[in-house]
Amino acid sequence: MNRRGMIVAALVLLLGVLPGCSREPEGRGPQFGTKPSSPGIPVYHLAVHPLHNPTKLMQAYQPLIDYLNNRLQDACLSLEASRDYAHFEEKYRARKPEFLLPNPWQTLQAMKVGYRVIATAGEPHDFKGIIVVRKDSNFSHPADLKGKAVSYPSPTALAACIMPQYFLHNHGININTDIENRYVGSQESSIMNVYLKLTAAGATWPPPWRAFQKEHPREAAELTVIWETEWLVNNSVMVRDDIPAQVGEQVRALLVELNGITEGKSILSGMETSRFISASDEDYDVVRQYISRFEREVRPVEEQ
Amino acid sequence: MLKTMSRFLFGTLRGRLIIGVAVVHAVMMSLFIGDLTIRQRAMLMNRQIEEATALTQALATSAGEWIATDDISGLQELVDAQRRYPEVLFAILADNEGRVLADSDKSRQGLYMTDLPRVARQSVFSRTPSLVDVAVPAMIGGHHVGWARVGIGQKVAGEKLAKITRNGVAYALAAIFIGSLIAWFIGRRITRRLYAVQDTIKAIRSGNRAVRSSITGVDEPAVIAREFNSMLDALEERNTELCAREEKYRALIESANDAVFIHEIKEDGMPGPFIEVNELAYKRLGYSREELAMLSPMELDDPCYRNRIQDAMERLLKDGHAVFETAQIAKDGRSIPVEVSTRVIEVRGKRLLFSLVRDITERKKAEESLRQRDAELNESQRLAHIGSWDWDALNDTIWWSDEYYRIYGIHPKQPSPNYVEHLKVYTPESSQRLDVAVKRAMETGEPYEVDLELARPIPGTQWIVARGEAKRDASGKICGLRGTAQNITERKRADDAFFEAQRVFRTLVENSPDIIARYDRDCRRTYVNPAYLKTAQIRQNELLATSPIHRSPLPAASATILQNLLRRVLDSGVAETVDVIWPKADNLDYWYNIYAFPEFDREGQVVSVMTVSRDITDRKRAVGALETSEAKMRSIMDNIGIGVSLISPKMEILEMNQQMRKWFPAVDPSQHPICYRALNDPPREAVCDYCPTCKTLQDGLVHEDTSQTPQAGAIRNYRIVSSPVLSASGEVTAATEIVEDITEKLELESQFRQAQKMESVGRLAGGVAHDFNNMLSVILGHTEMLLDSVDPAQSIHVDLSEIRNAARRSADITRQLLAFARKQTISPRIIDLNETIEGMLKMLRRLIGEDIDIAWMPARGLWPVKVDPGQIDQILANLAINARDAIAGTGKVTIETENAVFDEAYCADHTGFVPGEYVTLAVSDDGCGMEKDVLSNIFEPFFTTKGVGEGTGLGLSTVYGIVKQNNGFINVYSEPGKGSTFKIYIPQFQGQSDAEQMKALREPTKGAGETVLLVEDELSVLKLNQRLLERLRYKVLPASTPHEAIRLAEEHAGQIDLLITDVVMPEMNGLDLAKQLLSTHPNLKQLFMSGYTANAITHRNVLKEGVHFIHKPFSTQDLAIKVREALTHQED
Repeated sequence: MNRRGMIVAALVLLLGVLPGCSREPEGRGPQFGTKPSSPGIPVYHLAVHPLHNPTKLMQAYQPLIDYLNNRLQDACLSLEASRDYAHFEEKYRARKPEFLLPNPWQTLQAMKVGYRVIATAGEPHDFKGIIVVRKDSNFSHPADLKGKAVSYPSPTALAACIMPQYFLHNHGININTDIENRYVGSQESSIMNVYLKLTAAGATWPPPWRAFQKEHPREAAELTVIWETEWLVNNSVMVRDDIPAQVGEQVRALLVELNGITEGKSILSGMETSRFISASDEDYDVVRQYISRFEREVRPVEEQ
Repeated sequence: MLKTMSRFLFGTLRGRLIIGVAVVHAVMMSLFIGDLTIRQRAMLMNRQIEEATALTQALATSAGEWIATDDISGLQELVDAQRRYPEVLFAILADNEGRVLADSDKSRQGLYMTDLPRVARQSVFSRTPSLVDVAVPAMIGGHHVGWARVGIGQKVAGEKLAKITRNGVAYALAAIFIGSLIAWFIGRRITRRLYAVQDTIKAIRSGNRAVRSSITGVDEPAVIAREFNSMLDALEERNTELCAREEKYRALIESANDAVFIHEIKEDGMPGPFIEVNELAYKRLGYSREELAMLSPMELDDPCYRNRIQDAMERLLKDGHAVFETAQIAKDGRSIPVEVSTRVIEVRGKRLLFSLVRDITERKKAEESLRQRDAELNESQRLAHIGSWDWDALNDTIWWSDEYYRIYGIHPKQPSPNYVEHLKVYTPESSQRLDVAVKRAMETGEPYEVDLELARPIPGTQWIVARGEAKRDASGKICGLRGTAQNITERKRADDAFFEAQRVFRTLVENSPDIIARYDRDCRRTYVNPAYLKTAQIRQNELLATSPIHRSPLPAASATILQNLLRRVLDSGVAETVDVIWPKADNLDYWYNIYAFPEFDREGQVVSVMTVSRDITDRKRAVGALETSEAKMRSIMDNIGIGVSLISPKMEILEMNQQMRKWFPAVDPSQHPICYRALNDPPREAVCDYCPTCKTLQDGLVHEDTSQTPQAGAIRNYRIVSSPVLSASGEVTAATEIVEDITEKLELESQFRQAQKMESVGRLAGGVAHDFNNMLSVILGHTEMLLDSVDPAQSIHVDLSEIRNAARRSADITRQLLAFARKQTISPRIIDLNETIEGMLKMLRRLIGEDIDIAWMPARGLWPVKVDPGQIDQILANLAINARDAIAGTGKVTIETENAVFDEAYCADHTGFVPGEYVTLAVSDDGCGMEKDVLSNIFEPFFTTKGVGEGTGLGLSTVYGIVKQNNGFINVYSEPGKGSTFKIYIPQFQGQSDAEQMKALREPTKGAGETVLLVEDELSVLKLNQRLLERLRYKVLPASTPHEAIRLAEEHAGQIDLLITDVVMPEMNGLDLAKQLLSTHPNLKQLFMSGYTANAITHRNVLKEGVHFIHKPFSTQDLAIKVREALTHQED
């Protein structure tokens, strides 16, 4: 290049640099795809019915998920909470989660859409409804609740709603007319409604009540369990029928052996669950009969 | 302009000075502006990243629980809330796998973010001014549940930054401009004296050789000016000497007779540019001297001679001189042949070429003319295949032309033979003939022409015609011969072929079964073949030279057709064909197809017409039969009422019958439309899934299916049977579709099924009710007897009353079931429906309550109907109760009547309607209305939408049964939220009006010992009724079967006053029993009883008027009244 060319090039470069100062590099933004970036092993979601609020549920059940994930081969579990019972039921009706931890009534409903039971969570005798009232209330007989409001987690919660309502029914209360039923979304809310005097009594069941006593001892001290219902089969662990059988079997085996090891006991303690027991759909026939009786005598479960 | 500018800027000291100063300014200003902008941008970027991080962290914290619960709507609300930040470009919430749960762009929901870090940590993905992209993990209780990601732009700040940069650039450009201006002034001062020297040089170059620089002084420009002046003086002196020498040489060159060219020799040895030329040179070539000086010798040379010139140059450089011929191209393009004599000379150590160039145009023309004549002669001989020869008899030498050599296949370089040797090339016979001819020509001088065959034919040559004539010397004596030889092999072969073809064609024509004739331009026959004569039974001489019009075996009409055909072909020169009739001796018409074609002469003019006539009678008859058959088939296909179409393997519609065209009027089969597009509305783009035709085209088997075809906004149901159309080789060439519109059929089937279902349910209900009634009769009867025998003051009396009431209510239910089953026993009367309804209104108002208004709109002149008024009551009560239940709170029920006539056409369009004259009873409400699925079930027994204990589900079933029992029909119009209307159509009574009123029932009275023959197949009922009658003081003859009753009647000595009989019994029905007994006891009164009247009861379960009937179960009082009524009834 001759000298004249070099001068022209320098001038062009210089004039090019000045306007170039105002040009800004473009940001790339998020990158999307139709599959996860590391689609190694399949991720299955375990949806737990709203025993607790989501944060608490995570604290209680995430150790179980971590434990299972460390031992599962070719599969990985992810914990999924739900806003309230309706939300949880909506999910399994849409067959979204691969694994469920529903209450017994929801177990029956989930069977209809293609889930099958692999285990029960907790001892059967622990599955009973309890009715909590404030200590400063003067209730002594269920009939005292007439004209009062009673809180429940949801109309389909078996231990925390259906069984208490059947209990009240059997004790001479027409639950459709004599009391005001308030379905407040979660176990903790049902208890807190009583504490806050929004309802005269609240229905729940032992594990959440124990957890509430641990976490809110001051509030729990002002409450007392006034009635307990008879017990029934406990919550279940279910798997969707299109999930490979060996994955379901692995989960079942890991859950059942949990109470035999130290780490497992610690996890179960955090979940307020004594142990997992191997089970099948037939174990819930007793629930079906109970529900049938309840519907015949008290109210339809699903139309609330 | 650009060149001038460039020259100024880079070619002058002044320009370079300006550029230098401008560049210094530009560099300094650019560095300053660049530094300023970078610092500001960095500051804005840091602030942007801080904002984005804070916002993302807030979003992650808020969204944790929502992500954990997979609450998409809640997450979307969170994301949507971020829109209040103006610089937010996107906000995304995802689960821990990166699956987008909520996004400011909702279309990305469900996709996966693929660039998230593998571990849960805060990340900044982009730090550009246009986008700061931050992702923060959402945590719950220390567990990673998902991601929040926010992108923030910097639109406002970015615009400010751009403005600062733009201003900086403007300042920099202004500085460059001002600097350049200053540099221009400095440069101008410094270079002014140098430009004065330059002006002097310009003046000299323009021709003023006397001018000198006037700069004085001691600086650099002044020294340059003085040295320049000295150099100019020396140059002027040398120039004068050179001019004198040049004039001398020029005179020599200009006087030469040939053109003179002096030019250099280039390094490659070729001629270089001209140094000098004389006047003859440039005038011959048409150039001016200056123009020629601009050209190189090579440009003057004809390119055709370039090789020759190169050879000459090589010789020249080797020998120092050369003479060669070439051609030069004049300015006007002429090529001038020249002879060049050139020599290498050396002038001042430089080698030049000195060339004398002579114009040889005339010489060349003479040579060319001679060469052309020889070539023409040779070419003529070659074209004519004629060789020439010349024989010198004295020396026995023969000269042959080139073509002669070619004909005999001898190489031209071979020496020509003598006469004797020459004869050996022919066959012995040809040699002899030639020798004789030659000898005679030598003797007599006569020319000869002989066909000769070569002894060894060469390719393409076998026969030669040799011609020769005598050649004489100056004294007139024959000294030899000369002549020609021509190759006639092809002609010989053509002659042979012609004769062979002629023989073949004549054989063909004369043995052809077709009639062949030839006609001249006047349409007269010039030839007829033997088949013509044989068919026409005529002699040849009678036909030749005559036209079809004047003489023909054909009838006049056919002859005229033939004549016209010939005329047309003669005029047009185009072949044509016609069919004509030719009646023959057997009085049958024969058809001939005449094909006429022209015969042309060498000029292409039609000289004659040939005709070939063939007997096509059999074919014509077959075609006629086929057309008749096809017309029949077409008629059948068009009138069979089902669609038929022909489908090609490409699914094109080839044919459609009339029915298909009627169904699909827009489809034109001649266009071969694709069936799945044409027959569906909207058109389909792929073959229908169910398509049986597609299967048939694939496997060649018959397939059948039904289709639901969208057509004009509705769905039509078609049954399609496809069968293959096979070729002779068994391939499927098409498929025949037989299409049946089964839409109405399916609808009728559905209606039929519904009717069957209702009938079955009715039969079942009726059967149950019948048996149930019997049981109820027993319960009711015994209860009443017990009641009679128990003191009302006793507590058991109350219980018995309850049993009786329950039995009565049960009886009511069975009555409703019987009404539905149309087995309710009724007593129809001719009534005015308006009167009946008015009588019910008061009760209806009580029934439906005060909140619901009843509007009663009776029609005037309403036709009479024959119905049991009680049934009208039932209908109204049931419909009113339903209307009441459908109205929440206040509302209105409208009851209307009117006359209605339905003709066939109306009924065809309205399913369920039956032609005839009807009285309409309409009951409407403005209640909640009904869904479609409810509507389809409302008439089924025990179907109810009411709560438990609120309805029996028999109300509308009863209405349905009543209407059907009275040969009417019912239609319901209802929509959710818009109320319902039940329209009941009862046939008008066509007989004479019967104004007879029902007689008032008399008070029940007990009997006076009259004899009653009681027949009942149910023993418990029989015993009960016997006891009841005996209590009423009647003498009872009980019989459990009809035969027993007949026996008792026969055996009974006294009078039997009354027969009370069940209607339905195993052996014989009650009516038949009554008829039989009447034959022996003509005064026997009859009272029939039944739970229902089955088929045995006359006229579709309806008792004749005047026949006494009691419906089971009945009370004692009912029985007492009915028995009295029957006994005291006066026969008409």
